[in-house]
Amino acid sequence: MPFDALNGHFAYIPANYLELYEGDVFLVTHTPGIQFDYSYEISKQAAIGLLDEDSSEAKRITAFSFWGLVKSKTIPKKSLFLLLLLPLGGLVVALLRNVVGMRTFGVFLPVLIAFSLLETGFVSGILLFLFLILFVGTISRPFDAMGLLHTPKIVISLTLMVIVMAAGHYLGANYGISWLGALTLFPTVILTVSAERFSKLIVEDGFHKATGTLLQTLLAVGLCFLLFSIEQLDNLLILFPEVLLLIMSISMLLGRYVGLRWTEIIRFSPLLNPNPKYT
Amino acid sequence: MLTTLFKVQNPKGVVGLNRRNIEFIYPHNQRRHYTLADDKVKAKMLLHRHNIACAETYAVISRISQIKAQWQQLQLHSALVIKPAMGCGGDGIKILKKTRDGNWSSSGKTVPDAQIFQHITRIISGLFSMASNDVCLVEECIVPHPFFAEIYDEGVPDFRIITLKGNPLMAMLRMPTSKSDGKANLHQKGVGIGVDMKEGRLTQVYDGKRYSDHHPDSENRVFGRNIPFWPRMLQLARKTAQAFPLDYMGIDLVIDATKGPQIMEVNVRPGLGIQLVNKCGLLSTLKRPL
Repeated sequence: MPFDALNGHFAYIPANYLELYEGDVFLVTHTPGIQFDYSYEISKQAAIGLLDEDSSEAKRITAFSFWGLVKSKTIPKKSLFLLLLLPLGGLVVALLRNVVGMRTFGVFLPVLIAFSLLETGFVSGILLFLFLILFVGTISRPFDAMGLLHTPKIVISLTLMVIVMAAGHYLGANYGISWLGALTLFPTVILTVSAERFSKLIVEDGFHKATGTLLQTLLAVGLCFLLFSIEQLDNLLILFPEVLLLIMSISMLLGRYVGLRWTEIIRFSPLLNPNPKYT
Repeated sequence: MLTTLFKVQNPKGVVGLNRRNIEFIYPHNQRRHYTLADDKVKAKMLLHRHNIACAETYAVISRISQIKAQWQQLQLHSALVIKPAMGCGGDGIKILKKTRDGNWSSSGKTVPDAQIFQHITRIISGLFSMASNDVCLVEECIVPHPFFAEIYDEGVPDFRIITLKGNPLMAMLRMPTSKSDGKANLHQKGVGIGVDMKEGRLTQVYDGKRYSDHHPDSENRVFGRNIPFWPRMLQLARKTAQAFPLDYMGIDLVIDATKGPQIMEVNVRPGLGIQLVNKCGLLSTLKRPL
């Protein structure tokens, strides 16, 4: 019979209590005159949501999985999940680029940004991303005008990015603004490269096309984010790494795709229309 | 909806970027030969070696220390073009003409020698080519044939001929407009004019949105106009295609007032807008070769 005179609980266990054992005997008895000390230790145990309490079931379901890696703590579950998400996200971006015809900043940038969004939350993450790219793109503008060589220019942008991120983190921690602390969750180098590309695109193709590319990148980020937020996706990928082979085969098919991209269907519409109105 | 997106009617055989890359560029152009087209100096050396008509090369400056000495030797010319060997989008190209009093001028303004040296230094340090260094090419200035002035009298218009295994497939004439800042590229607000390959005649004018039969800045009808030197240009394109180890190329030609057709440059990844200009897909040109 559970009984807690101190906090006034009787005949039930409150939700915030942890049951250690059952029975009438004491857990620990202390003989007088003996030096004795004890403590409790709580440690995190990785588990798979899809399966019942014990993950040994994993062996029964699938012959080969990455579960062993997680269980033996060789690699944290989170890092493994990120690794496995990269090819999947890459495939999504490849589809968007080669079948839809979207323009994005690089192939893996949208994937990595989407992954950071899992930490920061979607809306604030997107806003932070935009802010970082635009801000660093703007403050590195004077250095463009100096006619510097490309590589040192990139180093300057990277330094500016690091300063902005560190300052944001500092301000966030000092004034208790939690979303500012999320700044350091973004992949710095990749952000710098995209800020750099964005400001270069503005110069080369004009503001209109550059913002178009930026918006399409954000769209790709959103789609990757939706995909990554699918519940149990992490467990599925860890339990069934065969998915990676599937991704490779789909990519091989995609690699031979010669059809028109959806954006090209619009571009070439005067030629594709069976009864052209332009002639 | 998905089936309509995947089964697009394409009776004219329009080639998209995917098909261009997989079926035209990868099997026909080896990557190690790309530099022959991307580097204008290498391309010109190859053209000169095969005695193919192109602008005369006055100088190739590859070191900053050579600039002054080379510039002295260039003084005997009355007009010249300075361009980066690996520039893109027409950046860094400067046309210089000698005025009566012996000074150099560019688009009507006198340019002091110091400024020219600075420009060449910029080219050599790779400012226009996304590379750590580049080479500066100085060549003869082309004077456009009077034929072009009848359509639009500014900038340097050029013909683009697409060749596959030495056969010309499709061609267009690219012309600057009042909005294009002297550039003839379609995406820089220039216009493309279709070419009837068999008859050697100009067809419709395409400005990126609409078709018409005259240049946007002139009333003169373009449609049906005969192109001067057309057989010679086709021959020149074939000869160029044979000289390069690249089987799918976009060859750019200009017509000089006195010397006739000249090769300007070659491209390994020619754009696909030419199909819109000609109202014809590239695949359908394969079926009925010229």
